[in-house]
Amino acid sequence: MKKYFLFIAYVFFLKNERGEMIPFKKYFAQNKDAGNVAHNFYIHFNQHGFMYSDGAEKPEQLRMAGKEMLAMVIKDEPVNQLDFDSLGIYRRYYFLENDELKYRDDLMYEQRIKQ
Amino acid sequence: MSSALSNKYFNRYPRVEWLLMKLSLVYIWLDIVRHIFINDTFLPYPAGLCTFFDCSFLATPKTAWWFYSVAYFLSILYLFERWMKFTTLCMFLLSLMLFTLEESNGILNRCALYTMIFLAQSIAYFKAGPNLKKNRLQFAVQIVAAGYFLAGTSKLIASGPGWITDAPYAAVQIAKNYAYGYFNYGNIADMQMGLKQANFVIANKPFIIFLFGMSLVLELTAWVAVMSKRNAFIYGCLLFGMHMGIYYFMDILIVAIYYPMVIILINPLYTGYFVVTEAFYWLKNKLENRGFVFGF
Repeated sequence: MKKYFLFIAYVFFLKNERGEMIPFKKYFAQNKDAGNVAHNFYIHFNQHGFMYSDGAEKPEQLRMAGKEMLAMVIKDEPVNQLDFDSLGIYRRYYFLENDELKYRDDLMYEQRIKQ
Repeated sequence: MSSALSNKYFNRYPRVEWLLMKLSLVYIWLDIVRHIFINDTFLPYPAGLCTFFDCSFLATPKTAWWFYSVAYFLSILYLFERWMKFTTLCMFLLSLMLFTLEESNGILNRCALYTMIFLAQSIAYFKAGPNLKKNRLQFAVQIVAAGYFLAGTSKLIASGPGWITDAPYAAVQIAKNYAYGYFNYGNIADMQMGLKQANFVIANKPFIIFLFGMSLVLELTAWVAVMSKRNAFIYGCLLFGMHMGIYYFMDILIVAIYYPMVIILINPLYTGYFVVTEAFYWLKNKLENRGFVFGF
């Protein structure tokens, strides 16, 4: 497992219960974008001493990180006014296979956000 | 003539050069400070200073505006060259505190260069003496060069020669960076652009390996910039090219590193001022030699 910048190509995104992608900046505060959420992922993994790279994280580790990341996204947001009830946070892992760019999406965590 | 011109540019430390450098530095600094106050409204992962004491007060809107006002006040003192030992030291401390707030939001190692530039200038003022005019610029050049040199060595330590041989993996980084745009705004064009750039990298591996190799060499030899003002300018232009390449291919531009580098090594405002004034006097002399008389 190679753990340096070039091999860590993860992006995090949100989907609602209908499977529609929810763009961060259209629904949430400016400081809760895909970049900031990604920083939270790496900090979480570093703080717990988990290895991350090459899409090899354990599902439970992803779930723990996803729960924390999603909690930060919806913190102080008027979630009851949104036009969806649940949110799932996904990790997209980009990799090269036979000189072809590929990716894999993994659901990290999902929850009902409306009270 | 070109030799005389370059001597005039590289062998002097005029006040206007220092003033325009300060102006550029505070303009970008205040913008970064404002950005941090808007974006970092809580401290999920205390880092640096914030691990020693609770600095959540920094992230409240009320204190944010108070600190922002202090940053403005210090910038005015800095521009008007007032109490410079105190002013540059306070700017360093304020930078350290505010950028710790950013680091406590998981955004690591972005603003260290800016912070250290104010410390370097503060040291120059405390040292004072006949070389002050040179030192306040030269010490900052040393900080920038050290920053790039450390970036190069850390790449070698973390990944060894793999940094160059694995360069085609930049394709996945490119796809990732453009995907950020799509997942932030929902604009599919970002995704398509990322795919296009990533496929270019996959199809042109030797070219990308060459670019990564050249960038690493540039970073590892950045210390050459401290040897003379001419070297600093040349290295500034080369590093500018490197950053533009990274921005074009990977959609990455780390503002708090790129701008201080450009300001300290190239000082575009002063370079522009120098070119325009020299061109003006050259033209004026030409015309006077042909019999024109100017009233100034």
